[in-house]
Amino acid sequence: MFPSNVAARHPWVTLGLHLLVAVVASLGLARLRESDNVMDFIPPADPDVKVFNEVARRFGALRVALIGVEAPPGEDVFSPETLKKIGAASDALKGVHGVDRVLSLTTLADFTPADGMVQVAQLIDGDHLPSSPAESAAVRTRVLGRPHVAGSFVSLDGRAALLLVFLAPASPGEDVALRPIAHELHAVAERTLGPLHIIYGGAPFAAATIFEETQRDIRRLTPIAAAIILLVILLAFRDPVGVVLTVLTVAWSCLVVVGVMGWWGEPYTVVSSTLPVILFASGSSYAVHVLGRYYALGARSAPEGGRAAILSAARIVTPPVFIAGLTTAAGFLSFLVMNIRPMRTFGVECAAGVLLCMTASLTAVPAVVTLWPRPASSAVEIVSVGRWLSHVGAWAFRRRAWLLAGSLLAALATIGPMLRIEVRMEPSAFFRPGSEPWIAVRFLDEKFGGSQFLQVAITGDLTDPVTLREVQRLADFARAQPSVSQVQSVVEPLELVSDAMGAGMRIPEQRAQVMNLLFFVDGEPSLRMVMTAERDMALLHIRIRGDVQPALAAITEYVDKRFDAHPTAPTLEKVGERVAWIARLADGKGIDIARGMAAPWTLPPEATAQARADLVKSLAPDEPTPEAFAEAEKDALRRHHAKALLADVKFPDDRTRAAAVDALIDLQPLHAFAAAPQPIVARLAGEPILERGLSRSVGDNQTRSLAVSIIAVLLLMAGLFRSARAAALSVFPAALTMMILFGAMSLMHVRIDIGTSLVGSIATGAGSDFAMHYLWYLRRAQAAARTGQGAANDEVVRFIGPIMVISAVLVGLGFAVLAMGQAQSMRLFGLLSALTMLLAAGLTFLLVPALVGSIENTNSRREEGP
Amino acid sequence: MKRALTVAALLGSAGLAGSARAESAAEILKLADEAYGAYKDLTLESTMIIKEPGATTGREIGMITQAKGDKKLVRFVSPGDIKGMGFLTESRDVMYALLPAFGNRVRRMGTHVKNQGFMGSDASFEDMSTSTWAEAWQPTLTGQDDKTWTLDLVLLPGHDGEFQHERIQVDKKIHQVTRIEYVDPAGKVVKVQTRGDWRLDAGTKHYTPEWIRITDHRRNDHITEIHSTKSVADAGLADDTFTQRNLVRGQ
Repeated sequence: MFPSNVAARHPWVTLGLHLLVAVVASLGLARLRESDNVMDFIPPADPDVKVFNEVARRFGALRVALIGVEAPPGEDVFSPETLKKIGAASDALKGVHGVDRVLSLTTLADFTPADGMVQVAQLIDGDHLPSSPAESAAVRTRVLGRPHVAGSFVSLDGRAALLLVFLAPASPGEDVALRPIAHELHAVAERTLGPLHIIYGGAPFAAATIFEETQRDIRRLTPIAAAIILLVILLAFRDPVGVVLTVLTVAWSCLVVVGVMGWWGEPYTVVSSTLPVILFASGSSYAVHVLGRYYALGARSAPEGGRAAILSAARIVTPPVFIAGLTTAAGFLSFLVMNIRPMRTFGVECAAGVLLCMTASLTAVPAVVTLWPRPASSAVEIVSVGRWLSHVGAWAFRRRAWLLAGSLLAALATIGPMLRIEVRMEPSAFFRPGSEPWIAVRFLDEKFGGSQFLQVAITGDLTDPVTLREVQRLADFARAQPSVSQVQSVVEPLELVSDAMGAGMRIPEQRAQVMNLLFFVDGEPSLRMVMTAERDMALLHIRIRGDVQPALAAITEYVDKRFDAHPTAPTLEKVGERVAWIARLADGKGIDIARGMAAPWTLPPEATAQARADLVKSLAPDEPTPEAFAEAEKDALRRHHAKALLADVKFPDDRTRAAAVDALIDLQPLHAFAAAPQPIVARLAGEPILERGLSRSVGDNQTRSLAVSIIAVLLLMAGLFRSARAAALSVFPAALTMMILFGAMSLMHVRIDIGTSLVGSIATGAGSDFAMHYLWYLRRAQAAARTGQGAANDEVVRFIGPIMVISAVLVGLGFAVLAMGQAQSMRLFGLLSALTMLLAAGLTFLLVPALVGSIENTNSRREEGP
Repeated sequence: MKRALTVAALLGSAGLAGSARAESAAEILKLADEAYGAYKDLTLESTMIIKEPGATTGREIGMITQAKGDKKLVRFVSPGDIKGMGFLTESRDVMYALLPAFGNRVRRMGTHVKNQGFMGSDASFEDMSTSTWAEAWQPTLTGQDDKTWTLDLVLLPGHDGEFQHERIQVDKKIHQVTRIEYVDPAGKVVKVQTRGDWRLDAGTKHYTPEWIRITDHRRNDHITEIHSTKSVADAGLADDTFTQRNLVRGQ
């Protein structure tokens, strides 16, 4: 017995049960909690994600909110008023719950040689801000002279400053919502930095913006989707009750799903928020099928009245509607094979919603029209649509050879591009042009050398000079990449302290010396960012401007193939490469130092005397030993030698030339280098790696869910038709649609992201419904025609055609509504889904009759006889 | 009207009491300084334990401190990687560091350096060098109970320090400082030092704490503990113990 029979027999009970479920579900809405934690979308088992989490655990915050501020026209950020605001903002932002630390002009440490020692002081002392234009100018000169500050925390023209707000990592199992933190940071910045021009960038602000834009879109678009559905159904059936019923089936399903989420404690994520629109798009067609057949049968004109008409309609439509519900649900349930939890949940939510829509269409709708019978629809347009579809089918059958050849050619042509399609999850892809994060990316690229930070975690003994040299080599390589604007590592503070000790701006050659230097900088907040307290892991922070991919690819290739896990002493080849990188030659070629190193060199007498005098001064009041004098002379000779060798090489500035000289003197160490005591491991981390892990996951998930979706739909169709051929035919138009879609996306350089990756599975489920319905009714029509029970053409003109076209238009327009959203990803998802649905419908109208035989052809065959 | 007069009288008496207590505060600080320096010289062996937030164990550093008057000499004896390093404090603003791995170079430390920590500890060079309070701080007595006085200290003009405002508790019996709260410009306590288990050094009136615990709230409650293992007072340390030459040669 069909559920519609029960519903028609007990209409009040049926409606009462629906109402009861709705009331219980609505109570769950109060328990619903929102989650905007983008980390939920990160697959925890992905190797890149594991590294990211480990690095975040060891180093604390890796998530950074960036707050840029621009001075008023004609001023710079070094005026007392602006510096005061930056200082106040830094203090206030530090106090926001969830913030680990703030780096800005007024909190940055400044390592400078002073009084024969390295001095770690605040770059700008908040208690002693400049009070006159002359003092401001002096501060400006000093700050812009710091390579680690200029271009990173203050723009090179001095007109903009940047505050880096590091968010505290979440404890295991803690659900940290970024949005409230972003809002608080926003409010604090506005209060303390206003009326200066403020720019908000970085993942926390971007996540909040994306979430809120999506929410705004949903609030705006859901009524539009509902209105479109209302309009289409109203135009089709000319019955307001039918319209309301269709919308109510979807609204009821949506309410139940969201209510159960509340009761279940399942968070309402950014993808969950698309549920209403997706259900309006894919769940409203069931009621249309039921009502369409009901109207066509002519409820009031039926001899037994409304109940008989709906029972008759339900008997015809229940099997295909049931299978359509299952196939669409299977498409969504295929998300269960994904390794991203919110996506799995979303799949279940959508599948449940679709099944509820189907259930309501087969129970609540019959109950209502049993109680309040509706008139038959006699709209001329409806019949015209069916007639048009019948002609299309006949045309397709006549040209079936061409159509099939064309389909096969299209399928073959898409294979190549389809295999090249790129899956990339980049925040910038989600930014609407003109939106706050979009503006921030451009501001940060233009003024501060980029907004993206790549990190490389290096595990090893970081008190070992050879290990530190490998860190330095990698830093120099990264710095030589064209899009890399800044590299921070443990090397720079060590070099500064070494310089203060009078040993030159370089990493010491002995472990004991490294320990001596670390004594003075251990525990400094700035050192904490680049090396663990245990000294077993270092972190390179690489800032990248613009497209992150070229630098990421180069550094990945370096880490995978060129990074030396068992380094010994610096070799001629390695040092030569380093010098080239320091000279900003990204390929590491072009400087031949081998010949120069082989030549004999002597130290001029005046240089020898200077070296001895410097030593005496540095060891005063003690007298240097003869060994100390010999060492000082050897050091002076190798520096003299290195400078001469590099005299003709072009370097960007004196600082890089000095760095190259220090690199070169590694070839003549004062003390023999020992091999690294333990292997060194370098692993990439940071937001770009997280995105890489997410991209890989999205790609894998798409393949898996698509495969599962196709297999599930095939099995369901085979069960319905009891024919493998019919099942394959049902899926064929949707599969061809997918191939054309992905091929076209590849050719148009449209990348797959988390939203567009869903299109395939959704379209397989929902798209194959068109073919299934067409095939189902076609077979029914052909059977009826063969037994003389009616004209097959009449079936198509009056029944199949109108309902299928209305369904296709409904689903297509439903998804197209999403394309009107402001959220970039939603627009692309909506557009591609709509196009896919319409293409799937179009291909169904052409390929199914071409492959099965048109109605007109069936009629003519019947008339001709066997 | 009567009630208003009562409030005014109370405010007046509070003001008078405040001025009387400010004088007492200076005396208390003097008592603390005298108790702290109640030795001719002092040699202290101790172990510093630096603990990351949440950790139960930490990195251990052995050191020997020698003090006489305002001068101090600190040598690190373990672990091996820092063995031989040391500091010499000649006065509140003059400190030297010995770097054995760099050919025994001695470097004078800048005045700003004393505000920073070393070896990742929560103790700053200033903590290691400070010996007396009264010369640098203006005290106000803000509270007391049966066992302690509580003083608010404000750094006097002309003196440098990481903090401009500190709050200390002085034991009424032994006159030693038992707790120091370091207050940031916003009035928030960002670091706390507590001292306990006082031990009277033989032959003197000087008490040495068996332990000192420093908690830095700015570093997620990062903790440094200093455990005193041995203290010898008035052993007759020579004045030339506290020279740069001895810093280099005495290792």
